[in-house]
Amino acid sequence: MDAQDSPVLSASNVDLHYGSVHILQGISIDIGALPRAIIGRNGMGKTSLCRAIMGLLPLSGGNINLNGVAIDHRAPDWRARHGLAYVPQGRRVFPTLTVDEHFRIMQRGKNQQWTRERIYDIFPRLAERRSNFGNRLSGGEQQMLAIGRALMMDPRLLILDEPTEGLAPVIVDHVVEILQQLSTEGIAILLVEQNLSVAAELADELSIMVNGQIIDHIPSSQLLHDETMQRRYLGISLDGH
Amino acid sequence: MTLFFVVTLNGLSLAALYFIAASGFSLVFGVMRVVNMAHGSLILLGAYVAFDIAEWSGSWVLGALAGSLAAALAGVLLQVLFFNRMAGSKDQQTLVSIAVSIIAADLMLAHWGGLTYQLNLPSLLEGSIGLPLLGVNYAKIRIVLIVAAIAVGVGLWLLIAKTNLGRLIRAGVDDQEMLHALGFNVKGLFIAVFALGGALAGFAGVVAATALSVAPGTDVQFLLAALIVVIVGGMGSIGGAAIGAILVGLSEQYGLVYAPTYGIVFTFIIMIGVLGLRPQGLFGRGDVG
Amino acid sequence: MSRADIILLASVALLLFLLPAISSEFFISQIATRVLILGIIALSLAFLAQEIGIISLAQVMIAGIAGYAIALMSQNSAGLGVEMPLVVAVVGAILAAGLAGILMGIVAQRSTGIYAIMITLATSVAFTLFARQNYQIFNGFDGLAGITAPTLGSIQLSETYHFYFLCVIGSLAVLMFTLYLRKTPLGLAFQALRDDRQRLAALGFRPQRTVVVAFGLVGLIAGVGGILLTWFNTRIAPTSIGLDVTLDVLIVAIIGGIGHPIGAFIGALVFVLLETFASDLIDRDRFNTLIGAVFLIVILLSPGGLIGFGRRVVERIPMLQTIVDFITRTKREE
Repeated sequence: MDAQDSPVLSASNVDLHYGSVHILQGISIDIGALPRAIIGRNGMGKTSLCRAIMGLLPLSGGNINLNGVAIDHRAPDWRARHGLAYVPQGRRVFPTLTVDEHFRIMQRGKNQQWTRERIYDIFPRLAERRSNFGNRLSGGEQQMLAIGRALMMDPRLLILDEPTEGLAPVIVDHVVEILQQLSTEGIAILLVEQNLSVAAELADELSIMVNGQIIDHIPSSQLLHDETMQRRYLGISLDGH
Repeated sequence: MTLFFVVTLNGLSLAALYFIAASGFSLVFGVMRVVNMAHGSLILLGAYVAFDIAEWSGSWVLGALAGSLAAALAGVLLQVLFFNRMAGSKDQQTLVSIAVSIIAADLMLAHWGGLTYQLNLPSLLEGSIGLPLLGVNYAKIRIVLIVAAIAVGVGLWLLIAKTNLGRLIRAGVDDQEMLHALGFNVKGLFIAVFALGGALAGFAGVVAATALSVAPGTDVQFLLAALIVVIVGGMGSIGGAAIGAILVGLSEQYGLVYAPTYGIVFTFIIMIGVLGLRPQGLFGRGDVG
Repeated sequence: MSRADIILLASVALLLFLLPAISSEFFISQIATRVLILGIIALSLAFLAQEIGIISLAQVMIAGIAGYAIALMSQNSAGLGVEMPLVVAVVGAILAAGLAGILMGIVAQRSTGIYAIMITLATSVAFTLFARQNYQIFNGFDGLAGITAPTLGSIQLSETYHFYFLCVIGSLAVLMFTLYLRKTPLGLAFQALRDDRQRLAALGFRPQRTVVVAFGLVGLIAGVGGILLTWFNTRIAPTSIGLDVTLDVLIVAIIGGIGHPIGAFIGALVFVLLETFASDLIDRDRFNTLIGAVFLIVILLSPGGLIGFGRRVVERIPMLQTIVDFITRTKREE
C-alpha cells in the first residue's frame, strides 16, 4: 500500500514523561496518504501525542521523522514551516484578532496555495464574519477558523485534536466533509477523537489508545458494530457518550 | 483660576512624560508578562547617550535617535541574555531585572558621574507661546511634550491595531504557544518587542533630559512613575497607561501647588484606591493580580 | 521545631555566644552585629516569601517605622515625640511595625507575584518620600538622631559586646519564632495559601485574611530588626530606609535563599563580608556592581540561594549526606 511505502510522518517508539508520569509509552505510528485516526478516552495521552509531534512537548525517547528526515530536535515553528499544521483541542483561536487578521498573519507570498480567498471559499461563513474577533465566534466558526489558519501553512500533514468536540451535529458533518475533501487533495491527516462515528467516517482503520499506548488497530466497520469492544476499549457508545 | 489651568497644563505635560516612560514598560509586560525593573536604567541610558551624541554632532535629532537606539539595543540584550532563558519564572525574571538595574546604575555612575545633564532644545522648541483665553505665556516644550505623548500613544495604537507586527504581538499575548505552532519564530517576535520597549524607554529619557534634566536617580524616579502609572492604569494596556499617567501627573502637580508637603501622598492614595477596587488596575486584564 | 532545627539552632547559638572569645572587637561591632541586624530584617522578607510566596519590598520601610517609633518614644536630638519607659517604647515600636505590616497586607492582600513586588516597592518609596517631607513627626531629611541603646540596671547595652549579645538574643528569638510558626496550624494555612490560593478560597478559608496576618507577623520581625538598627546607628532617617537599603535586604534574602530561615543570616554574612572587604577586590566605589553581579549570578545559577546550593552539594556527596542524616537522625525515604 502506498501509504505504508512513504509515510509523511513516522513516529517510532515515542516515549514521553511528565514529571514521573509516563504519558506516552513506546508509541509507533506512520501517517501516509490515507487519514489515520486515533481514538481513546480522556487522559489516555492523545493530546500529548499531538503536542509531541508538533514539538510542543519534549520526547524522552524514540524519534519522529517528517518525510524521512529526523525532526526530534526541531522547534515547533520549524515543524510548522516544513509541513506540519496543528488544529489543537479547544481550537485556540486568538481572541484579540479578527477572523481576517488570523488569515492575514498567515499570508506569506505568491507561492502560497491556500490563500485567504480560498479559505473564505470553502468556509463562506467565515467570510461573513471576517471582522469579528476570535472570542466572538461560535464553536463551529472557531473550528473552521482553526482549520483555515492551519491550511494556510500549506501542510503536508494536518493534525487535528478533537475537532468536533462540542459542535452541533450539522457542523460536525460539515467538518468531516471538509476533511475528506482535504484528504483527496493529498493532505495527510492525523485525527485524534473521542467521537467514534466521526473517526470511523474518516478513516478505515482506527488505532485504539489506552494509557499512553496504542493497543490495537481495528477496522472501523468492525468497531462500529461491536459494542462490547467499544465498551472495553473506549467506555463509549456510538454517540460518543 | 489661571493658576488652576496652568497647574493642570503642567500636570498634563508631566503626565505626557510619564506616559512615554510607562508605555514601553507596559508594552513589554503586556506581551511577555515580564516586569522589567531595569526599565528606568534604559531611560537613563537613553538620556546619557543622547546627550553625548548631541554634544558630539551638535544635532538634537541625532542625539535623540542614538539615545533611543542605544536603549533599544540594551533592551534586546536583556531579553537575549536573561529573560529568554528563564521564560517560566516571572519572579525570577523580575529579580534579574532588579539585579541588572543595580549594576547598570553603578556602571552609568562610573562612566557619566554624578552630574546633572540637560539636552539643549532644538531652537524651534525654545521659548514660550501665549495661551489663548488665559493670556499667559507657556513654555513651548511643555506643549510639544503633550503632542509627543499623543503621537507615541497614537503611533503605538496604530502599530498594535493595524500592522502585521501588531497582529503578531496581540496573537503572542493571547497564546504564545499556538503562535509558535503556527510557524512563527516567537523568540524573534519577543526580541522585536523588547527593542520597541527599549526604544520607547530611550525616547522617554531623551524627552526627560530635554524638558527637565537627568542625573543618577532619574532611573529610579521614572521606574517608580512607570510602576505607579501601570498599577493604576492596568498592566499591558496602552489606554490604561494613558489614564494612569494623567491621574498621576495631575495629582502630583496639584499636590505640589495646593499641598506641597504631601503631594506624594495623593498619588499614593490614588494607587491604593484603585487597587482596592480593581487589583488588576483600571484597564488591566484579570489574569495577573 | 524538628530535631534538625533544634540542633541547628543550638549550634548557631553556641557559635554566636563563643564568637567574641575568638574574634576582634572590629569583627564583632562592624561585621557580626551588622550581619545579625541585616539578617533579622532580611528574615522578615524571606519568611514571607517562603511561607506565602510573596516577595515584599516593604520590609525595610516597616523596620524603619519601628525605628521611628522607638526614636519618638526615646530621647532624641530633634526633641520630637514623648519619652516613654523602655518596655513601653520597645513593645510599642514592635507593635507599630506589626500594625504597619497589617496595613501593608491589607493594601497588597489581593495581589500576588510581580504585582505584590511592585505595590510593596511603591508603598515603601512613597513612605520614604513622605518621611523626607514631613518635619512634624519624622523631622524630614535629617531624621531623628541621638538614640542610644538603653541601660538595663548596670548593663550598658550600647557597649559593643553587650549590644552584640542583644542582637544575638534578638536573632535567636526571631529564628525560633519562625521555626515554631511553621509547625502551627497558622503555618500550615500559610503553606496552603502559597500552594493554591484559589483552592483555599473554595474550601471556605479567607486567603486574604491569612495574607494580612502573615504580613503582620513578619512586620513584628522587621520591627525587632528596626529597633536594633536604630540603636546601632543611633539614628533613623529617610536614608536609613531608602530604596538602596530595600534592595540590599532583598539581595541578602535571595543570596541566602528563602528555603530556611537561617538563609537570611547566611546571606547577610556574605553581604557584609563583601561590603567590608570589597575594597580589596575592586574599586571601593564599585561595590554596587560587585553585589549586583553576585546577586545576578545567584539568581541565574542557584535560584534557591546559598542554602539551596548547600543542599545540592550535600545531596551530591554521599558521605556528607550520611553524616547529615546521622546527626539529624532522619530516615530518608527509599
